[in-house]
Amino acid sequence: MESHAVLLATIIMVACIGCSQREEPAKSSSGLADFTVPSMSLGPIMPIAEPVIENPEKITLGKDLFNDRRLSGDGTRSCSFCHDLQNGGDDGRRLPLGIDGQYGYVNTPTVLNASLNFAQFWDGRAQSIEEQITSTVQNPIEMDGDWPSIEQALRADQSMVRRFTKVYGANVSAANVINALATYMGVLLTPNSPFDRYLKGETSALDEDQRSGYELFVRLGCVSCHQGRNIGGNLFQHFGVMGDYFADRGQPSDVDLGRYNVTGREEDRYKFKVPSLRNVAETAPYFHDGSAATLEDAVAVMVEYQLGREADDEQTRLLVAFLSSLSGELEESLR
Amino acid sequence: VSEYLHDLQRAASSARAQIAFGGFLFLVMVALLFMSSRTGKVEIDEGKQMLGNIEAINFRLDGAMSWSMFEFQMDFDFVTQSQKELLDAVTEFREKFPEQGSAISELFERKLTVMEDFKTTQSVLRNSRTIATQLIEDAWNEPGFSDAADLFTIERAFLTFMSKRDPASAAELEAITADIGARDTALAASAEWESISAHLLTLTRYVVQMGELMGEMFVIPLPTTIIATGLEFDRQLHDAAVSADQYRAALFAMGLVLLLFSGLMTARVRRYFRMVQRTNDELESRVADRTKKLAEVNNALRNEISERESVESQLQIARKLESIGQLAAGIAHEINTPAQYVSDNVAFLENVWRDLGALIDDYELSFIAGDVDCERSRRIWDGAEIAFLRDEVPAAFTEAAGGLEQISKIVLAMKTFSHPGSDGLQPADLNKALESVVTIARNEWKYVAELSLDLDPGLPAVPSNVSALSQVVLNLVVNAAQAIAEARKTNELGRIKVSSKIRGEFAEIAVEDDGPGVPQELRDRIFDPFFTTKEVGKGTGQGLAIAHRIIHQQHGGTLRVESADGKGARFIVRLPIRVASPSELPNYQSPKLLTA
Repeated sequence: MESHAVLLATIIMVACIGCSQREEPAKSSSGLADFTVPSMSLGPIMPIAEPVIENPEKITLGKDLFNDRRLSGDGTRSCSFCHDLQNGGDDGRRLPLGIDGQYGYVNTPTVLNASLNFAQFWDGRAQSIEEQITSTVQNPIEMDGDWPSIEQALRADQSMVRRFTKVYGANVSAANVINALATYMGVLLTPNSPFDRYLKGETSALDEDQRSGYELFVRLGCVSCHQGRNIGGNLFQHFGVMGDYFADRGQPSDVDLGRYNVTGREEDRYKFKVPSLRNVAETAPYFHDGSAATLEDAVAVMVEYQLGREADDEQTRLLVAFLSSLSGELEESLR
Repeated sequence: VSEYLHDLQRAASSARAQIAFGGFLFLVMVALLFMSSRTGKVEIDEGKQMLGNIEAINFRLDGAMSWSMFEFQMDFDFVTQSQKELLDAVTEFREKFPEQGSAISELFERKLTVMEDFKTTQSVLRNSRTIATQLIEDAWNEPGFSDAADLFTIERAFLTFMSKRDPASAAELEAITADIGARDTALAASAEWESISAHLLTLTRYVVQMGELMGEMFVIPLPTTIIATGLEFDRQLHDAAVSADQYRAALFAMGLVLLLFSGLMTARVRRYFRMVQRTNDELESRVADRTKKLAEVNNALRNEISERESVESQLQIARKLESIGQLAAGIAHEINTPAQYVSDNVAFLENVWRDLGALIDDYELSFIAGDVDCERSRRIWDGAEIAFLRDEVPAAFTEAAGGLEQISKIVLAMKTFSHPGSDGLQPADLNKALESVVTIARNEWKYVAELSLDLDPGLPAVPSNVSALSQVVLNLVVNAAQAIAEARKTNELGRIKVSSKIRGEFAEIAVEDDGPGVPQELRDRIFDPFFTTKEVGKGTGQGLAIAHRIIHQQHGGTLRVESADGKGARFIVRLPIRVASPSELPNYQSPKLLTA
């Protein structure tokens, strides 16, 4: 019996060796990036889609973390402290009010539609939302948090531990906190703005002024940079293509160097990420230095320094009317 | 057998060595298999796939850029998205293949930078060109330009530059713009001219910049590096395939060796099996032999045991007969005494009858012959002592009848006692049996002790073998009497008490005496066969052993002794009142094996 088993095993083994190496050639066609061509867009701006919520519990967790002050060093700041979702997703200040009465150096960008931007921060130093979260949480002026303390604080909270275990099958960890926040921020989109509805064919969504404003937006050349589905947020541009903005403004500071602070390249001096114009009417004041208190001011600066033109009052009014049509809707449950 | 075993041992040790060798071969094969899987073929395949992916995305990025550059695409989303995808793909590749990845990654970083600059430049360039065109067009419709020729000149220079895009035409456009601005001060002061000239200058600057960017872009050797890395992977794949082939060949060879070896092993194992089979057969026949002999011995033993058992039952009967024999003298005496009464009284009655003869004769003479002689009659009457007879004759009859009754009682008791009985248990009146025993044994105890009976009239019929049980009680009573007799120093009688009563589910019979008792050290042994304290020849030492067996084995009861030194002994028999089924009877173990 035993001898038969040995014989059989050997035969099978030899047979296996004979066959095993004859595997099929490595797959070469599948697994490669899919090479579909985007449909030719009719215009330079595309509407954005409704957010897709795949894991509501994770979203709720992210939302609660977004409002959780335990993420800051002194327990006084949550993300929502500066990113007020009821008011355009920013703080409405020229410069952010940081820990211990300090001020941040640049104007707070909105968190709404931020996930559609190709990079985060004015100088684009974060290439993903996750990097941005870590940077902001750890920034000594902004939140002054550190992950070990945050983990410890959240782990002391039984209900948090339960929720993380349910969503991640694991205890609270920095990676999970970041993921939950990033997932939440990923769905903070504002579809169905009047302009998006207009783009989708609902011509009555814009009034006459707004339609004229859009024509002007294209004709003056704003759309050269503020394009794509996020109406900006996909390239860097000099602040002051057609004029020296910083010389005219005065009081130069390090943050004015923009992208240069990240790359150190001379070409990147004064370059900033072109911000998205979605919900722009809600996010005053404007620019990285928060120097433009109103949309009118911002339009004037942009037309002068970026386009080398001058907008009269009527044009400014029309442009502002158009820009107001870019405010979309944030789903109530996400606020 | 030892020869066979030796052979077998040798075979086993050589088999062990062969199995070890086989195991070694097998391990070598596993090692080879492991090595052949470690040629890195799978990883390289994966690397090639990733590289192909990078190449495809890179190609698409270039396409997206061209699309944007030629202004078919008015937004940069497609470029940006491709950039992001390429960044992810390259990052993943570099994590997996740090060596090849770092070179590609570095080149890609350069390309990414150029790509950003491209978007920045392209957006301005396109804007300025559009606006310049638009402003010149507007200018034709406005009276701002004093000289249409100037407008024409500048438009022509602009269009020439836009079609040629070379430094010379750029310089010409710049020169013409500066010239017109200097000549026509009125125009130069207008906002329109300011815009036109600014955009034209911006355009010349940005077109040159775009040219530089494109030049920079095309010298980045990203495609060639990707292809070179792919070729390197191909070489590695080839090497891996070659070494995998070698391993496979070695494996195949080893497999053949193992096959051959296992064939050999099979043959050997077969031989060993045959050898073991032979040894086994031999051993089996020997075992059968032994078994047969053992069976014979066993049979002999069994016969012996049954013989012994029959001897034992005969012994029990003998014992009974012996006790009857021993009792015979006493019983004879017991019968003799009443027989004496009967005999004396009968003799007395015979005399009476003779004395009464004269009286009867006289009565005959007087009454029948008519020879009445009062004197004679009186004399005879007085001689007959009638008053005496009137008292004594009935007493004599009574005494004789009493004697006969006594005799018949003893005979009945003997009959009860000596009844051979059956082996089975029959409900029986224990009290009656006890009375019989006491009667039979009367001669044994009456000179040494007073015996009292304390029988419970409520005792139910108890399943028992009366004959055997009587023998047990007789034994106990005789023992008690003997014990008292041995210890007796005065003429004072000892006391024996025979009692019966119900105790729970048992009927209890107790025989107690006030003799010397059973010493502690003997108490455990008195039920052993052949144990006796009596003089040689006076007892067999079987009495209590047989009694023990009768009670325990036959009746499922208990027999034990309670005794305090010098204060008498009390033997207690307990019999279950309820009929026990045979299976409930305890498996009898004699205190010591009778067969031992």
